[in-house]
Amino acid sequence: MDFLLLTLITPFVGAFFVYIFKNKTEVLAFIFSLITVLFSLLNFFEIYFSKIEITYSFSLFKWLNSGINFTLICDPLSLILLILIVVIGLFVVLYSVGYISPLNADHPFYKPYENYYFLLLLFIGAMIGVVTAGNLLQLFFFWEITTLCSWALISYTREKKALFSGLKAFIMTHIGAFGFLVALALMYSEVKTFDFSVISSLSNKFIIFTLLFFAASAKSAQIPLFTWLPNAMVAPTPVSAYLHAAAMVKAGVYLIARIYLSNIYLTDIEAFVVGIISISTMLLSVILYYLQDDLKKILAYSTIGHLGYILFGVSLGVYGSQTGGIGGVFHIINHGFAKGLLFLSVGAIAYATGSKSIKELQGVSKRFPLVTACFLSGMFAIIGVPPFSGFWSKFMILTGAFELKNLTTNIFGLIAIVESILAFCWYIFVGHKVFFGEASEKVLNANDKIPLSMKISLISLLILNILAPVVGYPFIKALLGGN
Amino acid sequence: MDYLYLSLLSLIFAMFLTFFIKNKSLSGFVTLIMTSFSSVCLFYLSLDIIIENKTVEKEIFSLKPLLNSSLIIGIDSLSALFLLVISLVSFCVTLFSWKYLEAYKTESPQRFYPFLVLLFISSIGVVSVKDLLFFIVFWELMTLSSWFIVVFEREKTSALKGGLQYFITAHVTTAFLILASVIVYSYSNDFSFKEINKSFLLIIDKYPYLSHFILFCVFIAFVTKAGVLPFGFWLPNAYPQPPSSASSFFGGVMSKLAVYALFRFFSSVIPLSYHTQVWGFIIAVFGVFSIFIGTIAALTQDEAKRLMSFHAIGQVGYMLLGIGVGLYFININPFLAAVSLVGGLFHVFNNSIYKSLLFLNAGAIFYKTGTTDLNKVSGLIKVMPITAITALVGSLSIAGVPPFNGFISKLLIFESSIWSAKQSDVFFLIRGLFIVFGIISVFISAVTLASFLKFVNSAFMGKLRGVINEKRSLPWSMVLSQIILAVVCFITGLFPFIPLKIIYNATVSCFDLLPSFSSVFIVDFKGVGINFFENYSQGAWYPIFVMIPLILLSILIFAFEKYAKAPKRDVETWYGGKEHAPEEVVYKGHSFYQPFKDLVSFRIGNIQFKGFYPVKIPKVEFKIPQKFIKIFDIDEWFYYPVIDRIKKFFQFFGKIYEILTEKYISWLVFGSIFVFVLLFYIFGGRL
Repeated sequence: MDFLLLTLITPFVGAFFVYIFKNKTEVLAFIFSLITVLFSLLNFFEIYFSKIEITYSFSLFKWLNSGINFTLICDPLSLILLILIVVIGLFVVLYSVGYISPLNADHPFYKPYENYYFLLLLFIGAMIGVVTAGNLLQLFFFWEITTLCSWALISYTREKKALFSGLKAFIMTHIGAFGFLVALALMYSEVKTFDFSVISSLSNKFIIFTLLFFAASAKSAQIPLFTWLPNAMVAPTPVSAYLHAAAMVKAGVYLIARIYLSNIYLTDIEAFVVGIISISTMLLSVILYYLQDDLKKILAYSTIGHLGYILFGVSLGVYGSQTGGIGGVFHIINHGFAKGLLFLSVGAIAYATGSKSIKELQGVSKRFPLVTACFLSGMFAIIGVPPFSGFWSKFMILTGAFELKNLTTNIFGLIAIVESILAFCWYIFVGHKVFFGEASEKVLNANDKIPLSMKISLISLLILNILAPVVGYPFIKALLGGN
Repeated sequence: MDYLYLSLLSLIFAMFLTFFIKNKSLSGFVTLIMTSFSSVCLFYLSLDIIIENKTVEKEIFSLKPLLNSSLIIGIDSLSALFLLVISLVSFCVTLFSWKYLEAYKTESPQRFYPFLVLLFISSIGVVSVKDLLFFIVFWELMTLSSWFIVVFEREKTSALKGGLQYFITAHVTTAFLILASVIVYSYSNDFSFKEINKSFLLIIDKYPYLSHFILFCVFIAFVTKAGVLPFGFWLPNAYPQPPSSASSFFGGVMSKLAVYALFRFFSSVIPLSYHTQVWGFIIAVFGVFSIFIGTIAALTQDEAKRLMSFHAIGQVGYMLLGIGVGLYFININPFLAAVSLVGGLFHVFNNSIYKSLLFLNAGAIFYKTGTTDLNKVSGLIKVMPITAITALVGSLSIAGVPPFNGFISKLLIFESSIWSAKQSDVFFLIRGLFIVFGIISVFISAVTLASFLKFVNSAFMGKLRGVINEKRSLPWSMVLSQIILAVVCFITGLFPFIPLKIIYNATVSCFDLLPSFSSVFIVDFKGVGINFFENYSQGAWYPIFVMIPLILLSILIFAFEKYAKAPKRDVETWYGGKEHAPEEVVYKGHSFYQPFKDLVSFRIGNIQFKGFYPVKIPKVEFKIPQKFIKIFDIDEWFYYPVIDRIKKFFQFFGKIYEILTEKYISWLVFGSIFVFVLLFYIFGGRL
């Protein structure tokens, strides 16, 4: 269990070193993120092979005056997110080595890269902090660090639009965090503790749950505070990939999933709040798909929709269907790998052709077969074509929705199917338009040489994307009480 | 069972291997070797099961506790029948592809063979799983891999359009299947076919409308994949696009697997009840609809593969008619149902063979001429006689000409639909309808013959036209695969009692209340008869007796010609003294049946119908109103204005602070007094 602590500390140490040694930041960042992955793997193997229970926690020191410890926990849910955060973090850092360069046709980046890698490592560390936090206060602490990192990274290019988008993201998620803070205060005033499991025993649990959900919905870009995410697409593509696949937006769904898993006595009202918000977000996002021209923006709206899917699954869990709830958690990992892959492949296209517009791109497959394979497999995973990963989790969520024999969830389930179909149609159309057909001018003039580091991360994520259900399966099973 | 693993293993190995081979010939050869190995394994396995008439079932792994579903492989006689077809067709298809793919110069085989092999794997999966969730997985895998093959030529607009249409339609209807499965799961709590069968009776009892809805979802999912009109509108656009060898597997196996699925669901997944009867009738109606429209539309086509695609629609209609009539009568008259179901299933078997053969013929034409447009080629019998003969065999089979195999299954379907008139306990209108169905299908059989005569005539007869390179002869592998399929057509036609027995066993393995084989059919080595009345040879056929006079006649005519020593001379066609260029007067594929085509082509509103099939549908254009879009831009109408307001509000206070120092001081004074009063009030005057 020392490894868990090391996993948490390493990125911060790395960030520190990167900040001090200004040259060769990318190498340092890569080494440290690799070490983080190693530690988290060791952590995983330790508990897996020594047959210690897969769930454990330990307290480091007391902080604040009363009995609140600085606690790290590690259970299947944390592990799922931990894998996502460290693995995608590693590949995003690796990808950035190639992408953040003067050769980039979309937006050339010149040395010095200032604090790009510092922020990335800090981001990784903060996310690890979020998912291993043992209580809500500690979670909130790391939660705000992620907000800070995302603000700095979104406005990294220092262009006017980027600065505005960064500020927008910061303010919007901060409004949500205000809800979090109020919830914490209310909680502390009643039970003097920040444990996850006390929420259902509070007297005003609905208000506290709703406030926490408000915070999570701002972070996970749900209605009403979702507009920051599409704007955040001005960030360099690896950052958007990380933001969408593993970090930031996943913090919100993690919070709700955590509350769901540690509280058995939540009622239907709470479930309904989560359900109605997530379903309407899904519908909204699928309508907005059809209005986009920028590939990254489509992916952004699709992220919004899929976070809605995850939250919908969790709300089904609160309603009482275990299949649905666990399906939602399963969707976190499946969506994470697929979305990361999609963003990175769009980044590769932009790197080579200098365009992300659906109108301008055509016939990419002939010149970039690897990118095409990556995009298509990510796409099939996202839209849920079996045997790709998205199908399994979506199917579990749908099964949960109909298992309950509750009219509300049945209607929600139907809407989810409709959303799925509509999303499928647009995705497959975009895939056809961008990758097949005769090559357009932009593609013909493209720079053929995609750096090796980008290729390696694309291929690794391609494999991980295909294997995602297999990777997630043991943890999901452990969540359900199997071994 | 081990043989199934072996065959799957070799196919998976082939898939990974061909992913990395860039050489067309080598890649094809690897696929051929692996597929023939797997075909042999499958062939042995299915023969073993068919002969011993047993059921093998094994659970590979289970998804519990996530979902109550496990990958159950179960092979009964019905699955074995389809495995037999898959093994035969997949072998011929890969044998054909090996050299054929060289006709596509610019395309890489890496985008063809892996997906073709994946298609084989998924179709084996579809016929052998006994669990709804994994059935859906394999079903979609089949769609996915076939989509990749349809868009094989990535720069051809029609291929892209067809692929898009196909994938969207197939996926949307699979969503119906998924919906049905999750609804069923909420009652059965298990995805295995057995458990669903047990609990479905409860759904029928308690919620009849819900169960109709479930059956509707299942029906629409399968019927769309089978290409039954009006759901099969995508089929003529998608099937002609891939290389012919793949089209041959599509037409021969993939669309038939949809019929398999329909049969499987209505026989062993869903219990027999009144619902079966209702849906049997609906299936028959849709079957007849697509027989009629599909085949007549096929008559108007000039492109060989598109013509065959329309026939695929028409032929699926025959199968559905047979199965539908069978399902309708299964509770009323098992005897009639047996004849009808066996007819439908037999037609599936026959159709797989000759449809694959015909697509391969079209492929051979493409290899030789670079086109399959019947207006551009003719006289090919001179350069590829064997293809011409096999095409003739395939055409006669699909048209149901005795003694070829199509005749037998069609006969069973006709007889059963017309004999249903004798069922006095059925409402007379329905009986009448069934008779009309029978008559329509007999008539359409003639139309089929006409349209295939057109194919054979315009492609193979007449003057030689359109050949790219006369020296390049057809490779032996392509010829051999056609010969194999033609021989199978011929033998099943000549000795129908062997397949009939197999298919009867397959049918009985799904419906156990059917009568025994010997009480339905009388079999001897001359042929087979239906046992409508004992000791009457009513509804019997003796293909050998038909064959013998035919052979005698041919020998006689041949002998006459030889004996008379009639002189043969090649002359220019005489146009009654007028001078015409040969291009002006040549009888192209388009010229066939012009009056009939005019008769069935008409116009309603903006839509032009050709052979009752809409050809040009005006584009429906709609623009999303800007107001509607604005609703979703919350930024514009909510967040930014609110922030503006807040900003202005603070600016207002800022002004006070900046301009008027005295007022600011007075604000301070008043403010502190207010705070003081407030504190005083809160603490109740005890300061």
